[in-house]
This record gives sequence, C-alpha cells and structure tokens, in this order.
Amino acid sequence: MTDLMSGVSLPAIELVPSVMGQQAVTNLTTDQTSIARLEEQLSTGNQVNQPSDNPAQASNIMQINAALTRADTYAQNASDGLGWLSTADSTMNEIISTLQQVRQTVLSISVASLTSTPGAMQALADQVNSAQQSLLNLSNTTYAGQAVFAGTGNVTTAFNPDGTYAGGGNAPTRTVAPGTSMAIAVTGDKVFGTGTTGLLSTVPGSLGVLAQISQDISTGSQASLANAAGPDLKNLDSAIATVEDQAAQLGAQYQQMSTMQQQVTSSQAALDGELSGIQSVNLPQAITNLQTQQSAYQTALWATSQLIQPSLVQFLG
Amino acid sequence: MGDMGLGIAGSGLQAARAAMDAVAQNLANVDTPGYAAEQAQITAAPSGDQLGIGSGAYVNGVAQASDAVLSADNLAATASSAGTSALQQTLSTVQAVFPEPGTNGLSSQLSTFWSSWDAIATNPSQVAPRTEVVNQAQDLVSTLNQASAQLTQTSANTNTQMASTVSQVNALLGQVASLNQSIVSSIASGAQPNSMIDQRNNLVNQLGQDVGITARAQANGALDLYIGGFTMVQGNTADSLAVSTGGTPLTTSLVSNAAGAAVPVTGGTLAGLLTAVNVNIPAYRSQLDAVAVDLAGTVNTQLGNGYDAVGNTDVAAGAGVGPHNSAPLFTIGPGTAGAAATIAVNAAVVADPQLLAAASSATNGANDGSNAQAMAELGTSATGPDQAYRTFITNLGSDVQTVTSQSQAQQSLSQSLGASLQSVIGVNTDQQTVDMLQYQQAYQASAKVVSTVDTMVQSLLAAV
Repeated sequence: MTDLMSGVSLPAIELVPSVMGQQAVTNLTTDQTSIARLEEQLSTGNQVNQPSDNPAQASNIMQINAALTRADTYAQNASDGLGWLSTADSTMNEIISTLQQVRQTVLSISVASLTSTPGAMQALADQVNSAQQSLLNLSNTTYAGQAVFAGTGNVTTAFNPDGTYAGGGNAPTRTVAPGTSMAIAVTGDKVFGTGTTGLLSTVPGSLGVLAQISQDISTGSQASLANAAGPDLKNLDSAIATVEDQAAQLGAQYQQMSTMQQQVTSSQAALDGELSGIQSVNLPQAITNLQTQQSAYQTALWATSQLIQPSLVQFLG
Repeated sequence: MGDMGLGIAGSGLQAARAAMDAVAQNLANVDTPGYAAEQAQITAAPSGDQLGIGSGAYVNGVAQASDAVLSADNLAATASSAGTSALQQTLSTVQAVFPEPGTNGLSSQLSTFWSSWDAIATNPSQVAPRTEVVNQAQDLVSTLNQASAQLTQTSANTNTQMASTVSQVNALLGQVASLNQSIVSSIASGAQPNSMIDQRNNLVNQLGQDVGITARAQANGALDLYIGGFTMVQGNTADSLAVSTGGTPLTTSLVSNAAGAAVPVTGGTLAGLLTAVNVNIPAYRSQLDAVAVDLAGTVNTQLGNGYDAVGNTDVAAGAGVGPHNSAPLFTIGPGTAGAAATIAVNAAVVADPQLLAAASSATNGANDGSNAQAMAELGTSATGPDQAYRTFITNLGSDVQTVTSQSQAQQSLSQSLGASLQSVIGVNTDQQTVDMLQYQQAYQASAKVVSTVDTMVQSLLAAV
C-alpha cells in the first residue's frame, strides 16, 4: 500500500491495535480449547470421548464393547453348563455303582445253597427293587431346578414314578462362543433306555430290565432263576454298557466345556487389551502435553498484557 | 502584495487546521469498529495573476481509505466463516444426543438386550428372565423415541433461530436502503458523508455474517446488495426475505418477498442453518429410523421362527408374525417413516412375557430356549441393527469432524483477510502522530509567514 501523503510504498500489513487485539484473543482461545480437550481426556481416561474425536475408532470401540458384553454372557453360559455337566457326571458314577451292585446280586443267585430259602430270594429281590428305586430318584436329579436328564421336554421330571420317560426333545445347549453352542447334558431315554430294554419301567406287561430281574428272583422257580442268570443278566450287561457309554460322552462334553470356558476367558482378556490400546489415554504423555499447553497459555496471557505498546505519543512533549 | 501574502498564509493556516481535524477524528475513532481512516486532501489553489505564484492551499475533500478488492474478499470470508461455524454448532448439538462410544448409549443397550435372551435359554420355564428381556426392550424403545424427539427439537430450534436471523436481516436491509438515500443526496449536494459510509459498511458486514451478501458500489454513491442473482437492495428500495417450508421431502428455504422465488443462500449463518435443517438432520433421522426398522424386523423375524411356551396357541390367528404366528415384540407404524419415534413394545407381551417365542419346538415349549439362544447371537451379526447404528454414528462423527476443521480454516482465513483490510483502512496511531507533527509544523510555518508579513507592513507604515 502507498502512504497517501508522501506516496512512499509501505510494507503490506500494518498492525493496527484492533488487529493485534483480535489476534491475541484468537490465540488465547485456541490455547484454551487445547487445554479443555486434554483435561477431558485425562478426566475420562479415554482418547475418544465423542464420535467426532475419531469416527472410525469410535465404531471400532463400540464393536469391541459389544463383543465384551457378549463374552461376559458366554462365560456365564459356560459356567452354568459346567454346573449341569458335573452334576450329571457325578450322578452317572452313582448310577454305575448301583448297577454293579445289582449285577453282583444277580451273579450271587447261582450259588445253589440259596435256592432253597424263599426268604433269602425275597431279600435279594428287595435289594433289586431298592436299587431300582434309587435309580429312579437319580434319574430325576435336578440342577438349578431343572431335571438334567429330561432334555427340553420337561422342567422337573425325567422319569415318571412308573419308569416311563417324561422328558423329550434333545439335550439343552449353551452358547459359549460366536456361533458355537454345546450340549450340557444327555437325555434320559439314551441313558436309561425305555420299555423292556430300558432299566426303569415298572409298567405291567412291559417291565424294564430291573423289574424283570426282581420278578424273576422273587418267583424263585428253576426256570425263572435260570432266566435271571441268563437273558436278564445279558440285558443288564448291555444296559450297563449303554450307561457307561453315555457317561463317557458326558465326560467328553465336560472337558470340551472346560476348554471353551478357558477360551472365553482368554478372548475377554484379548478384547480388553485391544480396547485399552485404542481407547486408553497415555497418561504420562497427556499430562506432559497438558503442562506444556498450560505454560504456553500463561505465556500468551503475559504477551497480551504487553499489548499496550509504546507509541510515539508518549515521547512527544 | 500584503493581501496576497496574508491570504495565502491564511489559507495555509486553514488547510493545516482542517488536516489536524482529520487527524483528531482518526485518533478519536482508533477503536471504532469498521471505521476507515480519513485523510484531508490538500491542493494548491490556482494562481490568479500573471506571475503564476498561486493563491494558497485549500482542502478539496477528505478521502476515506478503502480497498474494494479486500473489502469484497473480507465480506465473502466472513460469510463462509459464519456459515461453517453455525453448521458446526448445530451438528455438535445433534452429536451430543448420542453419547457414544460410551456405556450409556444405544450401542451398549443393544448389547445388553441381545445377551438378556441367553438368560431365557438358561431357565426357559421361569418368568423372570423373560420379564428382563421385555424391560430391556422397553429401554431400547425409549432411547430411540427420545433420540428422535431430540432431533425434532433441534430442527425446531434451528428453524426458530433462522426466523429471528431473517427478521434481523430484513431490518438491516431496510437500514442500508435508507442510508443509501441519505448518502446519495448528501453527495449530490457536495458533502462527503464519511461517517454514514462507515455505518453502511458495518451494516453490510453484519449482513455478510448473517446471510452472505455481495455489494456493488454505484456511481452516485449508493451501494447495491445482492444474494445469488437476486437484488436485495437497489438504491433506496429494499427487498425482504421470508422463511418458507414445503415440498416433498420437507425443505426450508428463504423466499424473496418481491420476486416470490427462493433465494439461493450460500453464505452466512443462514446458509449453515439451512444446510443443517435440509440436509444433515433429515439424513440422520432417516438413518435412525432405519436402525429402528432393522431392530424390529430382526427381532420379530426370529420370534416368528419359534414358539412360545404353549406352542403359540395363545396368539390370535393373524395377530402374530412369521410362519408360526408368534407374538411380535416390537411394533412400528403405521408406515416406516418416523420409525424411531413410533417404535414400541407390543403391549400384549408386556402384560404376559410368556408370549415370547423362545422355543424352537411346538411340543417342548415349556423347557426349550433354543430360539432365544439364536436371538442372542443376532447382536454380533455383521448386518444387523447394531452395525446400522454404528455406521450412522460414524457418519455423524465424520460430519462433525469435517465441519469443525472447515470452520477453523475459514475462521483463520477470515481473520487474516480482516487483518489485511484493517491494515489498509484502520488507524495506525504512529502514522497519525507523525502526520500531526507535520501539520503542526505547517501551521507554525504559515503563522510565521503571517507575523512576518505583518512586521513588513508595520515597517512600511512606520516609514511613511
């Protein structure tokens, strides 16, 4: 620009007081904004406090949070599943040992000296009956108010008092990983069987293995005892084999569930680590930045106070 | 001779006095916003005799510093800066409605909702987990309803702000027109209405901030104002603007009362507010509505694949959804527009949570929770309502981020242009003080001439 009076060229920007004042205010405001942002980060501990701070990371963080919530549920499901499985497992052990005792009882009737005492036979038959009863009770074991051998068909009862299967459907499952659900029980009809090849039925005309053995022993005749020691024993053995099979399956399910539980725990840890990597504020760095910014702000304030610059007016007489 | 000398010296005194007045005026207005520095223009008077000496000095006008290019640039930059700043404030208000990525927002509520279905699978015959699912659904619905209501409120507030800005603009346009009239008649009568011109410049700057305006100076001293191709002020007549809402989709525009047509506003606060109301907020609303529709559709479809505890026999024919006529959990409508505002939880399910179709088999409904299990897994799907919501939030965040950095850039550009303009038209105290010293010396010199001529005449009179 040219000076209107003398026509001399002057430098482009002359700093008039109003301009200097405006610029000082702008710089102070910028400093204040930076300080406010650093203070927000420090007080929340988070780098991304609203979507505009980092839109792509905000979406990432929301996704990780969702995965963490889901993983918490997987962990709960796994631990509930393990409760079911360990209950069923220990019940199976009792079932097997009860059946082994029945087997011993059946084997003992071949000793000739006992065939002459009806009272003794009846006592043996009663032993089988009480084994039958305790197996019926074991079949209705519950965990958290639900019968573990009933499948999805019945809440409280797997087997009716007459030994017929009251459950139905498949074994319930629990979701323990994305898209992965695992069975947490075996169904009673597979364990105990049904009808005449099953263990528990006491329905007249369609007696189960134990009821049949008991009847054969208490009848006491040569033919019935031979029946008991022969075909009945075979049926009993095959029923025991079935139960042991199912027990092995339960054991395997328990191991798998245990493994899944560990996987859930480690995926939770991984997600937590990922989240804090993105979201957590690097405290030492943020604190240092805040202190630097605050001292810059103080310097700016001091500089603004010096804005009243000396002018020629002060030097005139 | 004496007359001539005295006359010349006298005119020199007057010229120096007038110039000093200009300096005094400048110093008095050093802080007045929009004030342009004045400079007395001193010209030598032509000679009146054969010698050609000249007849002194006179002030033939007071020039006001100005720079048309810088003024126009500054006006445009002010408009852009105000526009982006207004848009940024409005969008930040919208962003504050959605507390993401925190633990109180819709994203977190959705996660909790999906996981609550697993509790039904763990205890299918109990009512408590089902009641919990219904509670979670009600939380979701109320969050969506509130967010939608707040978007509507922000829109209404922005419209109110626009209306008051428009009435301010109309008042300013009227004032500029009447100043034009005064300035034109003042110039026609030979005066130089500098302070009125300063006042008019201030009004034009304010208009630039409000609505983005271009100015064109006329030869007679009037300033004509334009928005787009529309003449807002011509000489002493001013147009006015009105806010008009209509059309499909619903659009707000500014209409010129004289021309009856919509005025294309591209700068100033009003441009920012119009963009927010016409472009951004409707886009956010439709994305939020899509999330609501997706949520209801996903949940109801999955429910339709299952059975409740009594095999859906307690749902009236036609009242359910899906191939098995299951009770729906969410209701939307009528229609999908405004879904976020109309989404609600099915009242029948609230009254009887056993209606939730948690089972996959009709006969084993009492103890089967496998449909609920399948429902719980839907939250981690790559295409469900959770993803739709995340995409919406990312869009919102990007918009705010972009407009914030635009606003900062515009502000600093506007400031640097303002500084350039001020450096041309502003009052530089040091410069004025130097001028003051010069005029003081000129006055002293002319005064000395007067006293010298007087001494000469005295000695002539004494000699006679």
